[in-house]
Amino acid sequence: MADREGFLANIRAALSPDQRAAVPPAPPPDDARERVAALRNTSPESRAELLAQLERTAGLQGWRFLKAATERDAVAQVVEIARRHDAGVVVRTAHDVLERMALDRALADAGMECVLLAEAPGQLDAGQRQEAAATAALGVTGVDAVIAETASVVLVPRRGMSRQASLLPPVYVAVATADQVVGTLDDALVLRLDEIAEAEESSWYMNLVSGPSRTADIEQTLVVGVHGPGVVYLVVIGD
Amino acid sequence: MTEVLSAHFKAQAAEAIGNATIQESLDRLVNFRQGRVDAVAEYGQERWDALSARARSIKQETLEHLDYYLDQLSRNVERAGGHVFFANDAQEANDYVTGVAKAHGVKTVIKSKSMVSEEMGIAAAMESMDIEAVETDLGEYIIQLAREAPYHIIAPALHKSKEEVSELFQRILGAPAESDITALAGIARQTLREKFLQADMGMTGANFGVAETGAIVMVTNEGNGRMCSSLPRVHVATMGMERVIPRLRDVATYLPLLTRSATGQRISSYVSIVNGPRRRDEEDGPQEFHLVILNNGRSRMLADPELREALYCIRCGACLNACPVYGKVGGHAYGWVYPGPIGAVVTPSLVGVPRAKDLPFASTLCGACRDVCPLKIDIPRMLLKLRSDAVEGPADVRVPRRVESLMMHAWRRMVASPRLFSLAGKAASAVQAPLSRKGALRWLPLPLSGWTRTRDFPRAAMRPFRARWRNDEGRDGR
Repeated sequence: MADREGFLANIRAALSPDQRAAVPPAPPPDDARERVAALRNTSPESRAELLAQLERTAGLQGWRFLKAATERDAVAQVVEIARRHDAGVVVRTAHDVLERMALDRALADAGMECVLLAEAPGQLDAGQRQEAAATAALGVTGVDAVIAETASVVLVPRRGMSRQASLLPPVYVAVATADQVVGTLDDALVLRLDEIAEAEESSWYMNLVSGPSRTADIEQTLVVGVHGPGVVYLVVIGD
Repeated sequence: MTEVLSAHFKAQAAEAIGNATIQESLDRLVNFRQGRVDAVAEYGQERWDALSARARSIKQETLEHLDYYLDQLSRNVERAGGHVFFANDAQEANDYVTGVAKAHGVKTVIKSKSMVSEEMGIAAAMESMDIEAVETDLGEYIIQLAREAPYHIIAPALHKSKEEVSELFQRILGAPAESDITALAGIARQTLREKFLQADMGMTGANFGVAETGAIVMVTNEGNGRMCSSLPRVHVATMGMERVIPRLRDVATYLPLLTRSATGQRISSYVSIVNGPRRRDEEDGPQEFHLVILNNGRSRMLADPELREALYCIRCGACLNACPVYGKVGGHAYGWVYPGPIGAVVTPSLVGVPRAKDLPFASTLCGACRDVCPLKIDIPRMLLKLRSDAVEGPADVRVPRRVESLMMHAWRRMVASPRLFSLAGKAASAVQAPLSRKGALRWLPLPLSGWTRTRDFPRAAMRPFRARWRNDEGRDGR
C-alpha cells in the first residue's frame, strides 16, 4: 500500500531521538510448549478443581449451569430447556457433540423443529439461515473450549459453525465436554496458537461468550438481552 | 473531525454543576469505583500488580518500536485477506471509510462504540452523504438520538435519566412512554434489530490490534460489536495507532486489566478476536474487512518524551470514575471526545493547548487517576507539563494569561526586596480588617476577586513574623 511507508516514516521521525535497536528485542522465552503439554494432560484432580471453579464463576457471570453425566443426559436437558422456553424452532451448529447427542431427533420427538445453520445441498440458503436464526427461540452450539476463571465459552467460527446460532436467538445453550475446560484465557490462547501452528491456518477468529448480553447504560441499571441472548445455559458433559 | 468545544470548559462545567439530574447521575459513579475495587481484590492484588507492570513494560517497548509492530500488523491483516488503510488525520480516515461505503452502495451502516470513530466524526460524515449510520451500543444510541457527545468513555449516556430516555424514544421513535428501564432497552432492541439485519456495512473500533496475528480484539457487553462484525457483508474497524500489542498472548495481559478496571467485570460478555473477512468456506461473516489505523496527532505525543506515556491508555475510564473534578463537572465540560483526567491530557495534546487551554488546569492534582490506572499512567505529571507549556511554552503553544502573569511579576519583585515585602505586609494587615471574617478573607477587590469567588484567602498575621522575631516573641522556646 502506497500510504504505509509515509505513515511509518512519520512514526520513525517521531521516534528518532530514541536510542533504540533496529528491531524490537526478542520476546521473553516462551513457555508455550510446556504449557500445551501440561494442558493436554490435566490430572483428574485438577480437572475436578477446574469444574468446581467453572460452576462458581458461571453462576456469577449469569449462566444457568448444568452438569450432565452422559450425552444422553445432556440431550434430555436441552430438550427440557427448549420446552421451558416454548421453542417451536431451534437453530444449531454442526458441532460433533450435538451430532453425537442426536439432538435433532430428540427435539423432533418432543414436537420441535431443529434447523442446522450450515450450507448443504437442498438446505436453506444464506438469507433463509439468517431468517431462521433471527426468528428461532433457541440457539444451541458446541464449543471449542471453556475458560473456568471467567466462565467464557470459546467459539471458533468455521464451516458449519455459524456465528449466528449463539448471537441472534433470545436463548442460547452452549454444550461443552469436561475435557474442554481450561483455567485461564492464556491457556485457551496457548492451545489455539498451537492448533493453528499445526494446521497452518491463517484464521484467528475467536469469540468468547461469558454470559448473557447485558447493558447498564440507563441509570447504571442492569438489563440482560439487549442485543444478544438474555438467557444463557452452559451444559457440561462428564467429569 | 468532531468539533472541539474545550475552550468553553468553564461555562460547560458551570452548567453541569447547576444541573440536579446530572449531579445525581455522577453520584452513581460510585458503582464503577466499588466494582473496580472488588474486581481487583478478587483477582488478587499481587497478581494484579504483576499484570499491571507487565502491561506497562509491553506498552513501553511496543511504542518504542511502533513502526515495526504496525508494519507487522498491517501485513498480517493483508495476508488474511483484509485491507489496511493508514490515515494521517480524521479527514483521510473519513474519506476512506465513506469511499468504501460508496463503492458498495451502502445505505445503512451499523456501528458499535468506538472512541476513534467519535474522534473522526464518521457518523456526521456518513450523514452528509445520505448514508444512515446507526449507533448500536444502547448508551451511544441514546446520545445519537439526542445529538450529543458521549459523556463517559464506557457509559456514553451516563448523564441521562430514564425519563429523558423515554422522552427521546417518544419524540424520535414514536415509542410509548415508559418508566421501566428493561422496557426502554426492549424498545432499542427492537428498533436496532431491524437495522442489524438490513445493514450492508458494520463499523467497530478495536480495543487492541495484535501484530503477531493481524487480528483485532473487540470487547462489548451487549453483543453489538459481534453483530456489527458478523452480520453485514462489509466490516470496517478503526483503531488509534497506539493500540497495537505484539502477541496474541498479550491479550491475556490486557483484557483483565481493561474489563476489571472499567466496570469491575471479570470479563465483558462478548470478546471477539477477528482477523480478516470470513474464511473461504465459512457460511456467514463479512466478505470484506478493512482496518483503518489513525494517527491524528498521536505522532506528536509519541515524539514528546513527557507525553508519550498517555499513549499507554487502554480507555478503561477508571480515571474518570476516580476524579473529583470529573465527578462534578461531568463529561461534556471537557468539550471533545475524551473527558476526565486522561481527556485533559489527550485533548490538548491532540488538538493543541490553545484550543483546550483550561483542561490541564481542571485537576486538583490529587493523583487518584494515577492510582487507579491499570497502566499506572502518571497523569498529574503530564497535566503539570501541559500547564507549564500553556504558561511558558513556545509562542504557538502558550496561552496568554496577562493578569496572572502581571501579578506573578509583581509578587516576584515584592518577595525579592525585604523593604517592599515588609511594606506589603504592613499594608495588608492594615487594610484587611474590614474584609476578613472568621480568620479568612472572603472577598478581595479586583484583580484578586477571581480567587475569592470560589475560595477564601488566609488573613495576614496582625503582627508580621519579622516584627515578632525582633521583639523576641518567637524565641521563647529556645
